[in-house]
Amino acid sequence: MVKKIGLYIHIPFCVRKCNYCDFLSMPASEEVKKAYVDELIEEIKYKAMVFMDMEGSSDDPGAVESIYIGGGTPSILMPEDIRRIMRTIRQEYEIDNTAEISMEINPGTLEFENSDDELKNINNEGEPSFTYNGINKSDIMYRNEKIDAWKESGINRLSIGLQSADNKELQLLGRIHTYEEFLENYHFLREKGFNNINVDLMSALPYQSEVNWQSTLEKIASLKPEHISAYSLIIEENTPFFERFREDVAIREKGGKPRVLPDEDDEISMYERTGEILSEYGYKRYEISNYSQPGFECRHNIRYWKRGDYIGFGIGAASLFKDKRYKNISDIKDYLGLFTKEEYLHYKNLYEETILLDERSKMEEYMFLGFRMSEGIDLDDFEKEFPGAFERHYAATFSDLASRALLEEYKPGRWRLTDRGVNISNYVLSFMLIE
Amino acid sequence: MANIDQSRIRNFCIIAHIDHGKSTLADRIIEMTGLLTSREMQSQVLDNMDLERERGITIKAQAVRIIYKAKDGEEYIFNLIDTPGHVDFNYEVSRSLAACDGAVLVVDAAQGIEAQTLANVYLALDHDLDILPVINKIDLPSAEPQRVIDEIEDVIGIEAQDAPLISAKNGTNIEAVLEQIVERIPAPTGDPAAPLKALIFDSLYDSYKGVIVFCRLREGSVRVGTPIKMMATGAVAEVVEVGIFGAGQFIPCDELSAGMVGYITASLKNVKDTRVGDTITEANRPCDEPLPGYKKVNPMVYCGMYPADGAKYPDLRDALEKLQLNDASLQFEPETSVALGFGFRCGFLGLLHLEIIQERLEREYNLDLVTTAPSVIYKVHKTDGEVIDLTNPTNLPDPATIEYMEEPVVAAEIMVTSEFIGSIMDLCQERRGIYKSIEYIESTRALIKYDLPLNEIIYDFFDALKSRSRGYASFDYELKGYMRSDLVKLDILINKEEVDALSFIVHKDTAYERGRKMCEKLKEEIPRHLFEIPIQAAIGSKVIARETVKAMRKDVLAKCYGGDITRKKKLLEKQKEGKKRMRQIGNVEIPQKAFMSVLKLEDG
Repeated sequence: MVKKIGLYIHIPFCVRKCNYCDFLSMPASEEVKKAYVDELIEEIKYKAMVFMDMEGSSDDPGAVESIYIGGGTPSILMPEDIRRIMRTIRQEYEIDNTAEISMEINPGTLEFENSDDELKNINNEGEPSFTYNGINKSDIMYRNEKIDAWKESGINRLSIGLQSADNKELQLLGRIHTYEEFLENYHFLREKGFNNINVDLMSALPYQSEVNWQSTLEKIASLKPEHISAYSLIIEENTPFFERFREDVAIREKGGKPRVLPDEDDEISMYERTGEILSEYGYKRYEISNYSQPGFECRHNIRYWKRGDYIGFGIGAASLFKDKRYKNISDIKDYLGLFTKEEYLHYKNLYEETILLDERSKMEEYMFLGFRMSEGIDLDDFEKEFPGAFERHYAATFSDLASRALLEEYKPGRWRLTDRGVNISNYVLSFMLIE
Repeated sequence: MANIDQSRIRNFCIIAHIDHGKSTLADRIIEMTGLLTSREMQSQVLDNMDLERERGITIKAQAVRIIYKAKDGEEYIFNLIDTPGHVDFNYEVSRSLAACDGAVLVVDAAQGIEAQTLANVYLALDHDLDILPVINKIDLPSAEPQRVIDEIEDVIGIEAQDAPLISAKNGTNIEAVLEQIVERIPAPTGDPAAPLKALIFDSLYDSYKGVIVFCRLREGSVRVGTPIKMMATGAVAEVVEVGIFGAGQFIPCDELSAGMVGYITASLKNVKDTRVGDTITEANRPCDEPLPGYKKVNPMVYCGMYPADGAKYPDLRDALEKLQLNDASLQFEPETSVALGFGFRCGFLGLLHLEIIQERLEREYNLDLVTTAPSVIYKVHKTDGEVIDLTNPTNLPDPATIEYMEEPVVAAEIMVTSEFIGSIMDLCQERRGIYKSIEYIESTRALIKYDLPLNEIIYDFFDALKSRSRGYASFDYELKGYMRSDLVKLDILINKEEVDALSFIVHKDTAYERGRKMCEKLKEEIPRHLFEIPIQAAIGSKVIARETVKAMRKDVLAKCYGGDITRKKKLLEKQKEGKKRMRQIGNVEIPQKAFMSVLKLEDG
């Protein structure tokens, strides 16, 4: 049996960290970025060697069906770096002709010419919305060169981190771009022939009303990107937002009425409005926070939910391969030089976690990942993979959750979260862990 | 070792108000007499429980035997018994005193006499001990030794002009203390040939040696093989080992004789056979009558203790039995709670004692406990004439059958500098105190006396006292008796179900306030469920306070970055783990710590 695989490449760099961001990402010098790409290239080669050439294995992995370059801000990379990465991948792995190759981009890294003047005008209130000290000018130049490099490398899906169509909200979030910049870039990318574009949006922002959110959604939906991701902002610890809104977060956790954050009811109604509005524009929800026009679901993400194999590269990157989960080390200082300097030893120091999944973990994953998708899970399929396990481990849980209107069997053998279950999916999915 | 000259023995203890430097002086004495080199010394040798070192307090009395070569050229044997300084542990002090012939009274040169200085002095005088005052901490810039000496003479009425002025911390003038011990503390008396008469002042359980009895021999002698009898329990056994106390170790010897302090192990099966305060005599040649022992102390505060894991109930019982062995004031009996299952109603001397026992159970016996709110013992007078001692609020009879109730009252003595007198008196008034008197010890310090209901002081009185006097007030109390009082039982209902483990008795006038605070606190502790949970405080069927835990409406995990599924699973596992540490009451899950969080409702 030939199983297809996915590849994930992590680019942990950004122009400036956003106020809500707790991901593995940081501003860095050109030298560090170059060194990181050098390392990535070696890791890509190394993993092709260890994962792809497993001789005598009856289920040799097949071709790569999806590639996802995420971050951070991958569009910060110089054109040549993207070319090098994609060239290496093509050398080392067999890529399907129809593979989905996505990359995350930040509109603030695709500035048009004479950026300086433009940049000075991006604030909406006549005051500088942020300073340019410390921002690398090269990060935001070379739009044409960058886009040419992406096209030539075969990147066929772009995911634009916009978050909001309201400049005040963008400023609050600490984004480095305006809505107008996004628009200009969006149209430019369309002209350049990108016909599969996602726009990332965020609801439940501080000070945001349902009307604000609706306006952002409508502005974007009317642009007709093929895919829209709409997440509720989660205020994570160790972010400037956490420091700033800590009290509100505590109030909300208790179900109270926060001062500037939307309360839970507002969050829920924003979420519900998202589905309604986007469906009017022809989008369908296929995962808790993802919407697409028919046929434009993100294949790479679905791979995660369906437990398909994937190999991750770069710091913090996760892999699932032949029932083993790996997580790369997270510290860039440890990563740099791992392949380029310490030959033969790198495999020992690359992972901060390796877990061989037992039957029970596989089942649990099947359930808690499967239920993130709107189509939910198919019991026949589960039975095929884990014969007899449903009765033993899940039948009682399912009927309990169904009796509380959190799960539903929407057609014979097919189960999914109810709308209420989606709102508290964290709680419901914790029941998928076996006692 | 058979013929030790009694005139070369000094049995003494050190008494002091908490933090006046008692344990530090003990360390210094041990160090000076060369028992341990200073390099071997772990600070505060006698506080050998981890808990004691961490909290900087002495909980258990400890004994050590040291040799001192005095200026007269003779070697003296010192049996030093360290004593606790907290009011909760007065009974320990009392036990130690019974084994001594004199007491070194340590007084802080800056703070002077404090409430427990007085309490301990009175205890020592009750035991007819000679008191040797020592002024400590003379290295402090705020030290006023002469003022403190005068205070000791005025307030206590003992000669103190030649009290050694020392700094135990710096080791200054310790020798003067040692010399005075030799000169002023009397040598023991007693006939080594008479029938054995020894007082058990402590004991502990050792997994190798079994029960180790600490005793002071008043008459006679004891050696390996002597058949002995416990006069109160009647238990008979043969002595397996006798010995003396090294620093932190037991040193076996051939014989203990009248005047000596040491330990005995015997072929005793049951830990209950050796009761602290009992008299040991020879089985074949008993003495005529037991030693007076000392006042048996009764618990003042009760609470329920339950194993977090119900299967650990027998382990909890074992642990309590072992702790009780050298803590006579700890009492317990089985009880059951609808909310918490099988556990014990335990009696303590005070809240600190409760906390200490709880921590020891958790640390030394590795038990995870759920503790209910402490309660004092109420006397319930029923209309049919029956009087019930109520230690568990849940057992309060039907109010219709109650004629009246009484609550325990303590005579409290608070020593404070004059600037805080007003705020301390306000505090006592708020706590339903009855003013008795105020005595100025000197122009700037006063001893305030109040009668206070015990249930007003067991929770947080000490903290409130400290915060209202910027840490300066000191406090001591003793049980005075019972007083008729307008008491009600406050019940807590969670999602309309009464939770027995949360009920408590309170004065009618403070019921509303307490109820409100309880509800607020529980609201903080109880996690949100899928439905709304009302939390109510009620007296009978009348609800006097209410809070609501809102229903959980939204709980969604963040985006899965780069397919990091493991991280996601860990979050789900954490959520699931949280559920395990809950007690199910009806369909509400209550975290175990909620039962304890209500112990401490802030002063307000």
